[in-house]
Amino acid sequence: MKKALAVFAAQLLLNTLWSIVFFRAHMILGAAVVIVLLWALILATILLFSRISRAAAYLLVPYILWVTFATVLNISLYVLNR
Amino acid sequence: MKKVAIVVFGVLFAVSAVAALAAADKSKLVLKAGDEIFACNCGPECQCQTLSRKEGSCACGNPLAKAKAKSVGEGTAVLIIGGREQTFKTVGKYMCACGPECKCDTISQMPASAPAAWTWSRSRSSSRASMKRAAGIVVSIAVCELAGIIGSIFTTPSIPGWYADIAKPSFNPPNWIFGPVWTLLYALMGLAAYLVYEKGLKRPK
Repeated sequence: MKKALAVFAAQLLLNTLWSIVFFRAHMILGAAVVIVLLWALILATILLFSRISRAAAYLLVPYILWVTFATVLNISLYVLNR
Repeated sequence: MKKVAIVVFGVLFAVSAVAALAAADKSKLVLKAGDEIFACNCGPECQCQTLSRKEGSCACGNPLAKAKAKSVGEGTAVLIIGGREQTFKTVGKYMCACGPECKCDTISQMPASAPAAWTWSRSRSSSRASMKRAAGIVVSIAVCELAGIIGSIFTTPSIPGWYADIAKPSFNPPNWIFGPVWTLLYALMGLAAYLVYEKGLKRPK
């Protein structure tokens, strides 16, 4: 439970960090790196949560789908503006 | 103004979903005529009146028997059990306390005399327990929403300037969509984290 919640906290921190890197620092490539790491940590969180509560794992499915879309968007923005 | 309304709507939606989840009263067994159920088969003199959706033993320690609901009234139900009819209460003084995902719906009028397969909690204290639970869920969601609010402090000033000026792909969604989507996603995250926390407390490993 502690490990699962620690990974959850780490992804939440990366989530906030992305806003800072993208919107404050205007680093589109840096933000793309952060969001790929974020995606991996969300997947890790879902896998760890699913062992403890299946409902908790399902609750994060919309989140990872949206972040998948946001990752594509972030990379497209980099390609269009480099 | 429109943006504010959308965010408020999102928050209200998340809060009402959480309230509905926390308010589920496990001391009531919702039955309709024809339902199959497991019931205490110790006879009408037995005071435990244990009912469950799953096989197991009743509060007096005997195995539960298959029964069928003949008719359902206000707080009571007439069951056919072992060829006879017996009236059971459908609001338990005691109930299964094995967590929100457990679907056994076990209720009883007596606490378990022998170590049972389930743990019991008194329904009298259950309103306090569900208040505590609702408070835990609200705190968990608030922490996640806070992460979003901190992020938005950095986001908002760049939207009309820098972000408006960079080239966007054709599938770029309208700006107003991000607020409500993230509000909902942070709420789901908070709820998920609380469920894991709650399960972890009961099963320390």
